[in-house]
Amino acid sequence: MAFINALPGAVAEGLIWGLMGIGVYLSYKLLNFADLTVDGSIVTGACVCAVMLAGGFPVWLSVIAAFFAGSVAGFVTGLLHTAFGVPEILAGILTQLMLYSVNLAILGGKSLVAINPRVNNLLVHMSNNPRTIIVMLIFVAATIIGLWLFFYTEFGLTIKSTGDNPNMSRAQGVNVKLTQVLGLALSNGIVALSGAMLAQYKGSANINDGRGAIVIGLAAIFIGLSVSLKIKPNFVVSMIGVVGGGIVYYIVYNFVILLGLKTDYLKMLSAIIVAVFLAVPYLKKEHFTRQRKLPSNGINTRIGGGENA
Amino acid sequence: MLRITNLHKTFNPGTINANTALDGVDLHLNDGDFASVIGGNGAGKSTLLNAIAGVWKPDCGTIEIDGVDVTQMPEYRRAKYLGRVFQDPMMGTAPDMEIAENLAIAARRGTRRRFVWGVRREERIRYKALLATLELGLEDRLSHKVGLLSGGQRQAVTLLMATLNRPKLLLLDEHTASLDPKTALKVLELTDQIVQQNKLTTLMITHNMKEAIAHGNRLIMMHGGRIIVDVSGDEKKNLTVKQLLDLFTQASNGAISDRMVLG
Amino acid sequence: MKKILSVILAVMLLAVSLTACDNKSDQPAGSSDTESTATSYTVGICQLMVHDSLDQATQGFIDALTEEIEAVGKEVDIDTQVAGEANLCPTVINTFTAKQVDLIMANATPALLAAANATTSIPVLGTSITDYADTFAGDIPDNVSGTSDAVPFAEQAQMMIDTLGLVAGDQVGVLYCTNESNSLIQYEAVKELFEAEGIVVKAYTFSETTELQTISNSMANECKAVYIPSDNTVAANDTIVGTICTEKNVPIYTSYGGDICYASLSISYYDLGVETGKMAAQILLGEKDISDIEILTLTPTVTYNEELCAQLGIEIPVN
Repeated sequence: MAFINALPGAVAEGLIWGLMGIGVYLSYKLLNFADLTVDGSIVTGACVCAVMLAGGFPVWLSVIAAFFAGSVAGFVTGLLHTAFGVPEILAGILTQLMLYSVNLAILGGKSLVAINPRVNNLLVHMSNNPRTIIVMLIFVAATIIGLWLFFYTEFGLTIKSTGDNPNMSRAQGVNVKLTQVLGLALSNGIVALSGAMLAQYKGSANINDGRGAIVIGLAAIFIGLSVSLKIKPNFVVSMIGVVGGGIVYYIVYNFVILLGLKTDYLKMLSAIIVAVFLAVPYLKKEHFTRQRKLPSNGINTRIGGGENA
Repeated sequence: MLRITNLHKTFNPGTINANTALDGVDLHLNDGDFASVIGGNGAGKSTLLNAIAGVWKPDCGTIEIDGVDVTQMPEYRRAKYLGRVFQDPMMGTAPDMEIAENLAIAARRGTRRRFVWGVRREERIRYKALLATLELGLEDRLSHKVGLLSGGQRQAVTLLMATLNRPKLLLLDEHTASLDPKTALKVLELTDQIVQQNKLTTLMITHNMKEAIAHGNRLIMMHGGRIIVDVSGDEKKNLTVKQLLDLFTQASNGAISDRMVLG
Repeated sequence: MKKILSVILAVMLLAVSLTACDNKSDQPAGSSDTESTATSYTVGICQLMVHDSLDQATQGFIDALTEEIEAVGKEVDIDTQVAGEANLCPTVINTFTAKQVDLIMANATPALLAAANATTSIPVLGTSITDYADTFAGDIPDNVSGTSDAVPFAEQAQMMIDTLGLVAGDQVGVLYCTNESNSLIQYEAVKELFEAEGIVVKAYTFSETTELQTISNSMANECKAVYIPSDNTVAANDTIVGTICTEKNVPIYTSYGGDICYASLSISYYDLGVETGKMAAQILLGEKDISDIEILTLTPTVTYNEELCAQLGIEIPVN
C-alpha cells in the first residue's frame, strides 16, 4: 500500500531527472562527448531559479534564466575543448570546478537558498505530485518535440553528424568546433532547466545538489535505452526511453527504501543498476549471438555503424 | 582548375621520426582533367590529397582551386570547392543517420545552413532518383540508417555525396581499395559515369596500375614526395603496364615496390 | 509486442500516479481522535548524512521519544533514514508520506526543507538547525517546529575577548566549510560582534577537506585567535586544524566543543535530540499541537580544556 502511495512522488522525481537525462543524452550519445559539466550546471540552474524567485521574479523568467545560465556553462566547456584543446573529460571537470565558486556566488555565499511555495507561484512542487507530473509531462513533451524539430533543421543535422562522424562533417563543410560548442550549450541548458524544476520541487537550491548527478543521468539513459532501442531505434523513442529510465530509477529507489534497505547502500545500488543494464546487452552479444538465426531481410547484416539511436 | 606550386610538408620536423612527405610538388590540372595518381607506399599520394583538402597546412607553397588561393583556409571552409571519397568506406558517411540525411548534409556543403527544414520533400524525390542510378537498390532505403549498409554501398553513397553539387575538384583516395573486386568494379564504373556526366576535374589515387591506365586522361606518378612522371592524352592511353614500370624504374633510379607490380 | 506492453505499463503507471492517495492533504495534523486513541505511532527520521553531531541528535531523539511513548504503554515505530546527500532527501521524505507517518523528524536543513515542502499536515520537527527564520525567510510553516543548535554569539565573542585579552587591531580567523548551510550565518553574526570592538575578522573557507591543511596554515600564520562555528565538516576533521594552530600558539575557540578548543560555549547534540524527542511525544500523544510549540534553543555550557589552556598560557577565569 505504501508503495502505491509512493508512486506519485517517484514518477514526479523521475520525470524531473528524466529531463536531466535528456540533456545528458544530447552530449553523451548525440555528440559523443562525455560531459561532466552537468554536475555543476544542474546546480547552476537550481541556484539561478531559487535566487530569482527569492528576488520576486516570476517563475517563468526564473526558469528561462536558469536555462541560459546552463547554456553558458556548456559553452565554456565547449570553448575549453575546441579553442584550447583541453581533452573532453577534463574540460567538463574544469568547468564543473569553476561552477562551484560561481554557484556559491549566486547563492550569496550561503550553501542553500530556500524557495517559499506560499509566496511564489511554482510550476512544480512536492506537495502536489499529480500536478507536478502533468506539468513535467508537458515540459518533457515540449522538449522532445522541440529537439526533434531542431535536429531536423539544416543546422541541427550538422550537430548530429558532428557527433556521429566528425571527419565526414568537416569534409561536408561543417564547422565542427562550432557545432560542438553549441551542442554542449544546448545540452547543459536542458540540464540546468531540470535543475530549476528540481529546486522548485523540493523547495530549495543546495550547493551540493549536483553530486552524482551525471550517474543518475547515465542510469536513466542506459535503463531507458535498453528497452526503447528494442522497440524502435529512433530519436524520439530514445528520448522517451530516457525519461522512462529516470522514472524506473526513482521507482526502484523508493521501492528499495520502503523495503527497508539502509539508504547508506543506495549509492552502491545505483552503481549496480547501471552496471547491470550495461552488462546485459554486452553479455548477450558475447555469448548468445551465435545461436540466433539471421533474419532474411538483412537488417542484422551490419558492417560497422552504430547500434545507438 | 587546380594549381599547386612548390608544396612542401615535413611531419615531425627535427625529430627522429621526421618524414618529408612532400618535397616540392608542382601540379597543374586543367578543367575537366581526370588524373590518376600512383606510386609506392610513402610516395606522398595521400599526403598530397590531404594537403589539397586542408587537413593540415603545408610548410610552404600554395594551392589554388579555380583561381582561389585556399592554402590558409581551414578544412571545413575549403570543403565547398571539393568532393572527397576516402579509402575507408566508413569515413565518408554518418552511420547513425539516414541515407537521405547524409545526402541532405552533402547537398548543403558550402552554403550557410539555417534553421529551416533539413530534408525537404522535393529533395527526397531527387535523392531517390539519384540513388536509382547506382543500381544498388538503395532508392528504396532512403530512411534507413547508413550503418546498415555494406562497405561498398556506403562508398557508393559517399561518391554520390561528393559529386552531388558538381564540386570544382573531386578527390578520390584509393576509394575502391577496401572493396571486394565485384563492388570495386561497380564503384569505378560509377566514378567514370559521374565524372563524365558532370565533367568533373578529378584526382584519383590508386595502387592498381591497370586501373590508372584505363581511367582518366592523365597519369601522375609520385615517389619520395615528388611527381616523377606525368603523361597525358594519347601517350597515356597507349601505355602498357610494362612500359609504366620501366618509366618508373628510370625515373626513380631503380626503386620498385611489390604493391605496384601486383597492380 | 514489447511496444504495446510498454505503452500499457506506462498508461497504468500514469493513472495510478495521478489518482493514488496523495496523502499530503489527507493526513490530519495532530488531530485529537487519531492521536489519543491510537496505540502505536510511526515516525520517520530523515538525517542529512553521517556526521557525529547529527548521529548524536538522532540518538537522543530516539531514546527520549521511545521512553516517553512507552511510559504510557504505547508503541512507536521509528524509521531512521540517513539520506547521504541533499538531493536524496525528497526521495526519503516521499517514502515517509507514502507510509503516512504520524510525524517527521528532519535532522539538518536540507532534510527540513524537503519535509516542509512535502507536507503541510504532517508535523515536522527539525533539529541541528541553526536559524529557522533565516531558512524559511521569516515564513515558518505552521506544521514546522523543532530545536535549534544556535549558540549565543555575543557571549562567545565576549568570552574570547576576555580570556584572550583581544584588543582592537587583533585578527581573528573564522574557519568554515562552504557546503555547510548554517556556517555563513554564524560567521556573519560573530563578525559583526568582533568588529564592533575594532577586532579584524577574516573568513577562512574551504569546500573539500583536502584543503584544510593549507587553509589552517595561513590562518595560524595570520591570526591571533581562531573561532570555529558549529560546522559539521570541520568538526569531523578538526585534528589537523588543532595540531597546526597549537603549534603556532594560536588558541582555537569552537561552538561545538571537541578536543582542539581551549574553551567553548556549546551544547550537546544528544541533549538537543532529547528535547526534540520530548516535543515529538507531546505532539503524538495529543498533549500539544505543533503550531503551539516554540522553537527551542538549549542553554549552552562553558567548558575549558585545562591542558590546552596551560600550554597556551591562558588563564581560566574563576567563575
